[in-house]
Amino acid sequence: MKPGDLVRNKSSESGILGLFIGMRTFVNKHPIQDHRVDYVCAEVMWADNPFGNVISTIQTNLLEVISESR
Amino acid sequence: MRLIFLDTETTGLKAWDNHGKPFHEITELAIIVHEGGKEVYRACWKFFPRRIETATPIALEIGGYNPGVWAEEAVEVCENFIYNLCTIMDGGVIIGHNVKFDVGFLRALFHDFGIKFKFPPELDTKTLARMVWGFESLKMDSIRKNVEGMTCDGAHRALKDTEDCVFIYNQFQHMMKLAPTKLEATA
Repeated sequence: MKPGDLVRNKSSESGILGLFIGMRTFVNKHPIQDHRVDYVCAEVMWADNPFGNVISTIQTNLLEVISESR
Repeated sequence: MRLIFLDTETTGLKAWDNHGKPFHEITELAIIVHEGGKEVYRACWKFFPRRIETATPIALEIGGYNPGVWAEEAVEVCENFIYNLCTIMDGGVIIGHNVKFDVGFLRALFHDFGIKFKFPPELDTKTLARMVWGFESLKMDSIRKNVEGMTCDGAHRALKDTEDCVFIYNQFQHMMKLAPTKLEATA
């Protein structure tokens, strides 16, 4: 998955589409002992939102690429 | 996936009146279709206003409406024409500048002819332009004045505005290629 790819949310009934912007890492600032696991997810500009093109994060495994950017 | 770039010129700002009926209407529509990164279709049509009495003079002036030219060049909008538009748009993603405005007028046009159509998802080049250049004003004219490679010459005609949407989309894709794939935030 590359920035600029058109992606689909597999978990959405209507198959909502968007433009993949990139990966976002949420750093875990409070690790338990030395076990630090950051959360990495995708950031997508959604195409179907009635309020315009909202950009939000989503689990990467819920996305499928439907059209690759050039 | 097909990308349907489009723009409309209209007789005013209100696609619907206060009673939910179509009001102002499209005078010009341009569509450029990209598939696999290449342009595969391009068209621009002039529509003769059917409710010219509702038109706003300033909107007609901005959109370059000229009754003489329209009398010669306008297409006859009929059911078959609308169905052709459905075929062009079906299964794609519509991309335009303030695209909800244009799609609103297309919905009103389809309503005029009693044709139901599930419009494809929309991407607004205003959002893309904000990401690429970060401008405060995202009006097309303002973007044109501030971006190298864009010009206001021929602006507010459907085809020129559609070409500028393609330009903005391509600039966005170019930026995405250069952008880091991973962004970091703090939980």
